[in-house]
Amino acid sequence: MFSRYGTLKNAMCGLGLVALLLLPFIIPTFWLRIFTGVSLWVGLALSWNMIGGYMGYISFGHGAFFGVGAYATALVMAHTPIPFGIAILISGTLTYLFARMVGYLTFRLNGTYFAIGTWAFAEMMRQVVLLLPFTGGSYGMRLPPVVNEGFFYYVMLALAVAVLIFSYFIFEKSSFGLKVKSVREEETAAQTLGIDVEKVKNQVFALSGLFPGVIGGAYAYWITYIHPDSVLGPLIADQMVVMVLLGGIGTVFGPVIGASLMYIGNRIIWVTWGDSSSYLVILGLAICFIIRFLPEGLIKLPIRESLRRIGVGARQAIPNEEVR
Amino acid sequence: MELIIQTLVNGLLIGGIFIMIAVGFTLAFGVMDIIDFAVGEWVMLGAFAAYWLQTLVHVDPLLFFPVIMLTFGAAAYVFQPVLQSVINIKHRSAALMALAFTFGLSTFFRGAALTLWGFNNRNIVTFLSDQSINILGITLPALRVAATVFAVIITIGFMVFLNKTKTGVAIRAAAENKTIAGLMGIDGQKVARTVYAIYAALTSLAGVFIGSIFSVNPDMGLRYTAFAFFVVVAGGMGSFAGAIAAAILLGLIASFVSVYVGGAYIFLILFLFLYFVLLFFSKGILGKGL
Amino acid sequence: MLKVNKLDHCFGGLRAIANFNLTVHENGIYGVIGPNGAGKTTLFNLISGIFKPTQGEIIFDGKKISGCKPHEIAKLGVARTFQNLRLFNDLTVTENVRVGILNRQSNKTWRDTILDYTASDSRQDDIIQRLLDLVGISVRSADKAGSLPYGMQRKLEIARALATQPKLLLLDEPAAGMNPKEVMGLVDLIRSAKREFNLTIILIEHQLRLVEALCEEVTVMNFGQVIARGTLAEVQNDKTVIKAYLGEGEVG
Repeated sequence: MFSRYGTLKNAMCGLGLVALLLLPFIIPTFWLRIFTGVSLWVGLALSWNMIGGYMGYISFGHGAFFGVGAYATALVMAHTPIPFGIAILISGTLTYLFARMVGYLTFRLNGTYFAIGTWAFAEMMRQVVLLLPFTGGSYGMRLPPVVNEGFFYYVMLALAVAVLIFSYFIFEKSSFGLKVKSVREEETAAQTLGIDVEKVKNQVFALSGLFPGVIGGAYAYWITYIHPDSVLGPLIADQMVVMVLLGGIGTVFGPVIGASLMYIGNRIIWVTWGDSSSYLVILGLAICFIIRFLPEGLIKLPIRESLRRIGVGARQAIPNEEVR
Repeated sequence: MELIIQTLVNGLLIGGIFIMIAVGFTLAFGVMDIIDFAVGEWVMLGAFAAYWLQTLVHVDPLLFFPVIMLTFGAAAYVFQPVLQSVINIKHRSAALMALAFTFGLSTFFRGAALTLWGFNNRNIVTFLSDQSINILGITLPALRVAATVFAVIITIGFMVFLNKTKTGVAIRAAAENKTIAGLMGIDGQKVARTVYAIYAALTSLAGVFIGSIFSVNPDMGLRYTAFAFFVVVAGGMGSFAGAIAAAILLGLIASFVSVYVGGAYIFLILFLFLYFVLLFFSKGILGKGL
Repeated sequence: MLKVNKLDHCFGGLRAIANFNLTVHENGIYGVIGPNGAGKTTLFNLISGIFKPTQGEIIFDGKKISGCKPHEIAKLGVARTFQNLRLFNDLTVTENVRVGILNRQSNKTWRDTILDYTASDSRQDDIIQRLLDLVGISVRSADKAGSLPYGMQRKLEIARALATQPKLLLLDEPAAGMNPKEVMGLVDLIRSAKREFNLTIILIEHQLRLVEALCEEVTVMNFGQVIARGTLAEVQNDKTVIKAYLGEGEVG
């Protein structure tokens, strides 16, 4: 723990955080927006990872929580004087409760059926928003514009870091996390060891619906224009799934890596070709290749091994010491 | 009264097209244990194949449907081992990896079509377009009748194939129980490839009809994926009779909702129905599923 | 301690358990034997709450547990192992046992839930160490459960079940796939576990060597029914039992 390697690691983390905090003063707005987007997707990917990675239930419907959060914030801010900070918390609470309800219903299913169920449910939500009288239907909704890229960068960064810390402590370090993993590994055995499987599944699903709600709200205020296809379209959930798969499902840092690479890649393609359809081609191919050749994600690539070999040498002297 | 009958007939005729998708999709699910998210994209590609056949070669695509079917069948036969290798991946959630893989395929096809051909709608004109039959005040568009007749012929032909030929029996055996079929000397790999080829051929044919009846655009796939899921789920996952019944039911719902409730509500009602059928009748509307 | 009354369980039209009765007294070791498909594992699934009985009741410690959820039954003090191992393969050996310990701490606050594992409670570690020592797999404590050899996996399942502090332990074919020497080791293990934790045990087993060494009463099942009960020697001479094992025609 207090080896040179560990100190080095902590120092790197601290340095990275300082760099992230200073970013708005260093880089131009264009790049700041990209980093805001990276934070947004890191938060979403980590949220999906709670249910998809730790719980082992693939949800194709998580876009719904993002979209409902976005609409909730938009509606609250359009019709009441409630400030943004509280509006996104309201959105989060709402999507948490909403996820509780959806989970309660959908956990009658498992495996592939669960995946299809969540997908059907999310598509249903998109149709509902298109048809409701107060959401603007297919015209979408506008929010009061705020031009302060630095502000949104910090909001998204804070949210992403919050989800990261939450994931780490709840799923990697707490006994609740151990319960969750045991249910993923063997539901029947977990039950006979005294774990209320239904309760655990519902809790995790609700938690993984809470954060996308908050982030969705922040997104709505950032982008200032939302539309059923942009915040409730299937692409939102798809990207969450792919980012997690790319980085490494069921790990803390996998989704961070996956989301960062995917989003930056997306922007580069967008800037280079100027349209979004070629992004779909690459996204699709990426999904196929990752699953076929790298099902455990980038995080399982033997980078650490090779780093060790080329001379982060402190590790080699004490080979038995593990980073725990 | 006439309106009701007309709506009913329309529904049955749409349902006829869905049967084509339903039969192949159900079979692929039964044999390969895979739910193909890309099913709608096969429909879209089938429709585009018809469109380009008409535009570039100047032939009536409806007359050349065997060419399209064979092409798609062959392509699928060649591609299937890749899909199979994904299904066989050793992973904690292998089935879901396969699902996500087909999801990637679907995104790829859609993206490629959008990039190559753009967002606009195109039309296919066949010798049956604009023709219709009138019986007692009920209008039967010739194309839809042809599609339904085709669907029925193909389904019957298919049933005969499954029950009377050696390959057909092998397929049914594999769908029933792969391990035992393997022990009986059935080459599971070959059966799976054949099934995937048949599935792609049938789905592309459905695409030809759908493209001719409605129109062709790269974004059309998603709704047919939704329809196909509806059909297998409501049909009870792997049951042929259930899938056919569900296809007809789907046609009727679409037709009645658009006349009596409004076209905008079709998808809401379909997904609502799909969700609750999934939750409460996991064995399908006929209760015959796995 | 455990009383099974007129238990019935049907799968569709098949009656897997029919009019089954069993009385278990504290501190005993009971054996359940019978041909394959006799309904033995179904019986365990009913007691541990994985299946709900079609009819009849199961009383444990004076409480009716038939109809309760598996985790509720586990909290009352019933633990089990599985015929086809159900370990948490991707978790380490230690973590597998730790999941069992979680059961003991039902009235904890949220704060504890989040922080205890981080603090790596030394008392918990002691319990885990003791259990792993007892079953003899502590050398592999940091390995993934799925990577253990078969025999060790069986022992880990027992350790994990013991971690819940059960009063009643159900062992489903604990000696499956073991050679005679390993079986005798298992006999010692079960005996010392019973002594140390004051257990009552019901075990399903095909290896009569193990049944003979441990069980004071044996229940023989066939087609979901009790066909004989008594000591092993008694039931081995029972005509119906011989018939059940050898088939109708061969008994003169």
